[in-house]
Amino acid sequence: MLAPLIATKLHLPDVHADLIPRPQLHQQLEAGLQTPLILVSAPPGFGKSMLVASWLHARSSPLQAAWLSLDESDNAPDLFWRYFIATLQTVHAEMGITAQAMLAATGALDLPTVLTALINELAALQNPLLLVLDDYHLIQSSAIHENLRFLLDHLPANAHLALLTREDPPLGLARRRARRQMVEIRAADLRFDQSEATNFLNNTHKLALAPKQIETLEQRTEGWITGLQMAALSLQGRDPAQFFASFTGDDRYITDYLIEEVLQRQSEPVREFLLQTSILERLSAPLCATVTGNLNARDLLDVLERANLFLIPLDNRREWYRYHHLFAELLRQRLRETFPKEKIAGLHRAASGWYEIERDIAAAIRHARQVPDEIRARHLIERYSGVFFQQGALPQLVEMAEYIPPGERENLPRVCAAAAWASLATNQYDVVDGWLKAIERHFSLPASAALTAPDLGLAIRAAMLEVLVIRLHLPAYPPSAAHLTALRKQLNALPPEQPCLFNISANLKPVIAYNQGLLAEIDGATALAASAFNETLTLSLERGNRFLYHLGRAHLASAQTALGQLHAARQTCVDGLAENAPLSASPYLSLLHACLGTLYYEWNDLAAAEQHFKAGLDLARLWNVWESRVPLMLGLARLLQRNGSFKVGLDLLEELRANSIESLALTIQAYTALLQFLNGNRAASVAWLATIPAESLLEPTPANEPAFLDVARLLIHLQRPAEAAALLEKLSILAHSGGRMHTFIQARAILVKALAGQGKTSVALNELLQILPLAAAEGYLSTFLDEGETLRLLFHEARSKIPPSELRTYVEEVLATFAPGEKLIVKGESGYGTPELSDREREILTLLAEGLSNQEIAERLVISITTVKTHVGNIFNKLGVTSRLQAVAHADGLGLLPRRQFPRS
Amino acid sequence: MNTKPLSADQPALYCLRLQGRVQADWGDWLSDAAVNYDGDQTILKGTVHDQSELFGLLSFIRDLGAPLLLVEYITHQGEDYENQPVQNHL
Repeated sequence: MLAPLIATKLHLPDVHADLIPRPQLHQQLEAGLQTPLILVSAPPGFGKSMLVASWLHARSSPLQAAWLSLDESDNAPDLFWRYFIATLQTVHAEMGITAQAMLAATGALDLPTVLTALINELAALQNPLLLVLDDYHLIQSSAIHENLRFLLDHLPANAHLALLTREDPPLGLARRRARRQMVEIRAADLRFDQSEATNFLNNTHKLALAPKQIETLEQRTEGWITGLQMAALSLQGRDPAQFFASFTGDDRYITDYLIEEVLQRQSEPVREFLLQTSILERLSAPLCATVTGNLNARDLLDVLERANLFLIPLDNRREWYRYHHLFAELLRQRLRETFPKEKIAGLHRAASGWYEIERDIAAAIRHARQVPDEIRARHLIERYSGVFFQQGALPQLVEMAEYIPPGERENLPRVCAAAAWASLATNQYDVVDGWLKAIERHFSLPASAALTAPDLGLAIRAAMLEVLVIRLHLPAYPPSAAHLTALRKQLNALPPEQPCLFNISANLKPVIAYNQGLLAEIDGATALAASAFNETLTLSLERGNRFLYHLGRAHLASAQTALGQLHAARQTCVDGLAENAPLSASPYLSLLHACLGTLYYEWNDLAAAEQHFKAGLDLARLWNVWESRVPLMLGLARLLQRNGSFKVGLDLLEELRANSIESLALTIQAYTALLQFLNGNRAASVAWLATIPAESLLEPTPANEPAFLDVARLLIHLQRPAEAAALLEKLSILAHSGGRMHTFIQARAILVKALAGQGKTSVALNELLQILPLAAAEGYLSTFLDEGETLRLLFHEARSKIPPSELRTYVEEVLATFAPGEKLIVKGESGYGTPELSDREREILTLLAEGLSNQEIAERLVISITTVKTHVGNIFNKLGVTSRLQAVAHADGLGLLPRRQFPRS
Repeated sequence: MNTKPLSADQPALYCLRLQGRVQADWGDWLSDAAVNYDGDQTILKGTVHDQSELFGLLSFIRDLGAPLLLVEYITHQGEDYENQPVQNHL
């Protein structure tokens, strides 16, 4: 669930019947629909909103118009864009759903991507659409200006923006002006001229003023509409002569003069009400009643509305209103002059209380800060941080917390913990530790004391453990095995209902479950890990901890894969993707894609595997999810290896080595060595292998199982099958003991090859027959295919040993899948005519082989993406393939790629 | 001098003085912008369309982080406006 957006902000203002028609300005606005931007820039009170609203109400031809009234709290870019998209959705319900999901998942991390998604949708518009951003001057965030500039520069022809502002925004206006890419309406256009002023005062307000009096008013107000409106209100039912006598004789500034005139014309209760409610950004009867203590608030709002006292309805139900901004500012100024400070503070206090009950905590905090009552503001953050989590309003929580000066944060450990979790959940890893250090300062202890000081009190211990648990997520704190063991011991020792610092959940239970899963995973207790992650799902769902829930699911899927429960893992992933359908770009999904890619690769559905690896990699890069990058890139490299594109795989690994985490270094190195061998660099792989101490090969650990599988493969390639077999025996015993059947089956499959390599064919066949039932149950294919010709021959042998049965069917299926790959190679070598590729096509093929996207190729060759797509289509046709990967593999096989090094073992 | 006082909706010539030698796209804000440097100060001179543009410019300067030393109104569109070449004020 997301933070509730305030629907009243998306309401197109109603138009008063007494408006003066302004056809010329309407024409100018109409012309603005030929340009991306309409700028209405003038000081307050010039009728900017009213002009645009009345134009929109009066238009007849089809235009979809959406309205967004901005306020100061919209300066957080992610919130601004969420409002922006929600506004679009008031006219196009289905628009921006993808962009919205990206924002919901990640906040403002990569807005250009979000906006690009939005621009693409706007490009498909059939009819013109106008989005009005009212009070844009309240936006002071240069990030938002920059985003908006980007949007304007790429705005499709049918989309238009109107900015209503008191000051010119930094959007490169001079350039747009010179290129006629905007229409401007400024104060000089908006001011009432003599005839409009006459019309307004004498017809609309029926004042029967003399021309000379109107001229005086027009001059004194400089055609300023609000000024004329206030003057009209003051003149109602009063002798004009008396008014003008004092009006011309008074040298106070016109606004001061007029507001006082207006207020003096009101009854005492109305005047009080106006002043007291001026502190509110938005007014509703219950809120006003609470703030003023006046139970007639509903009636008073009606009185104000009827009297045209600058009260603007924000919805059609007469529920929410706001004052005309300038009028509210003048009222607030009068309030400060006439009310004692303590009384104004009381008004804010009452408003803060009302918003607290309504669970609009951000508004409650804002009013508390205006009291000013920083203690209450902090108390609100502390008490309701869970509400922000439930509403998904994590960026707002972080923003509210960051308002607290750094030096004082350590006094608020619970706020620090909430802010740390919220920053973590929004992937702002760099700020998380600042909050954790504040917690440590609060307790004057390093968090590690929870592990080393035996007599630490329970509450402090729980807090310190929470710090350590959060730090497990930070790349800067790579955990050691000893640390993890100690941490688990302490977590287990906590009473189950021990409260933690951050009260989103009443206790640390789901966090403990999740981390026990993580620790079990690292220790190789994979079955335990899976059950802990399952528990995490249940507990985090109960406590509404969305972040842990998704993370738990991704880890569950990967644990199930390790356990060799491939179909169960697939179900976990598919459920996760389905649950996230509205959030199709959530960063957690990169882990699910990694898992699905691995599963489909095992089932030899290479196209699906490629699709998931790439989708996952896009997400992982987008959100810098380092933990999913490694499996994704390793997975892609294996796909490429299958097709003989070793060099491309090596490049991927190189990228990983450059910025990877220590715990996976060995895995990456081992696979690199294997690929180097396959790519013809035997010396490099032998040299790397020599760096691995012989004794470590005798003592594999769960963490280095994947690396040692590749070491074993390499040993076989290097004609050292006996050493490989010894290692694989150890590996399979270890994997089996931890229930990691995925590794077990792989180790046994390679062992079969190692045994055959030693000439022990019947032993090998026996081993194969033993693992076949296990492999058949989960449909293993690639594990065997990847070990090549030896395995194919053994499967032939195996078929003859198995009577007709499901198992035999499975063996035949494996044999059938061996075939296509073999054919491909034969095809190239037996002189089937090499397809005629043009120079450009060869060039593009080479770039495809480097793993470039169509977009990147277009940029590299400085041609349009459409041209690239055409060339790629032609290449596919000529090579008779259907995917990029196939094209590259096929072309490599045909010697069409420039650097062909393609040794076969 | 001018016959009428400046109103919010009139073009006017302003001179601004900022701390530091500030490079920015001043043409975005001031038509006929003239930029000069006086030691480590920047002197900007040019015409704004109206007060909304002036305040936009001031916000822009605030966001640049350049301390503002002086905002000087010089003249506005009136009898002698056309005869006020920008260079005379530098």
